[in-house]
Amino acid sequence: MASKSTPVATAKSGGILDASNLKTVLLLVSGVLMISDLGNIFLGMPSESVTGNLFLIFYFHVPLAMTSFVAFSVTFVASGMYLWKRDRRWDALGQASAEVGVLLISLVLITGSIWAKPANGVWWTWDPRLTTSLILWLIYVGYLMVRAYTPNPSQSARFASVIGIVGFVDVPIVYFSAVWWRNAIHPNLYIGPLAEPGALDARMLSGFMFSMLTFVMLLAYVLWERTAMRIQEDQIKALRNE
Amino acid sequence: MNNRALFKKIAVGVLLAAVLALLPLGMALAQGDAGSGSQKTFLPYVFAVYTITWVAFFAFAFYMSRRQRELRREIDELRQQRAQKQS
Repeated sequence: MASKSTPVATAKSGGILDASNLKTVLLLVSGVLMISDLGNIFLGMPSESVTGNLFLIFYFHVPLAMTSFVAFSVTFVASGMYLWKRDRRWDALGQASAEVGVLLISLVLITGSIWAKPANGVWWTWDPRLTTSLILWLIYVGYLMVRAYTPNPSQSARFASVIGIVGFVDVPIVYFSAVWWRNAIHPNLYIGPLAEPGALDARMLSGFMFSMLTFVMLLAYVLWERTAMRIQEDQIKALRNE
Repeated sequence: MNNRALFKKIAVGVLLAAVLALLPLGMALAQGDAGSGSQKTFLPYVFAVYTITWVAFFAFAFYMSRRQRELRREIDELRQQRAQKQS
């Protein structure tokens, strides 16, 4: 973000490693990973002893949640950088990341609900992790609404950045909620610094890591594309105002 | 094929995919295996989760490509307007 012209918005077809080529490569790699991930999960992953093949949902549900945390972290950093530098490209990155984060956390809530129904007999319960995840969703939907309904663009960027920073507080709360308020719905932490040793066997862990890689690559591609679009939108607005 | 026709075709595709995603879920609910033991298969739920996730991603990607096309068109229009003003 140091230079004034973004490689994304101004890339011309030049060398092999120009931005549009890199973006295409990223898209292709993401596509290959998506297909390999499905094959790996359905053909290579073992069923769990208690819930059987229902546990296969884990390989999508948890990486989706972790990737949404990554997206909200990007929003957090970009919001801070925007307030510091007042560079609209940081704001564009923050908004793009929040949009993708909302998509991901929505999928986390939906897939979690589908998992909970056969596992616990209910679609939804006010378990601490579900509640804090719902709060996270509401915070970032609020972020997007502030952007949509504040008429002044620089004011909108400022307000949204503050929400992007303050709202991030809920991300660690979602993760630690399973430790702080232990309950039957989320009894164990499988992943992360507080995961119990041996919670996942080596094969399951490798399947999870592969899924995680797939979603992170997808996130990178979507973020790149969406940020470039936001910058283009800003340029069009500026051209119209000339 | 113009953009609108293409959009309609893709929208129908996305809708069909969404229906396909909800079908296995409906089947699972009709079978009434909620809250049962480990012996039953839960594959309809698993397929529902995977389909919904990919449909959502593809819908978002589709929205982005459509918006990008609009932006390109707007940029072209603005360029033309500028050129006309200058000439």
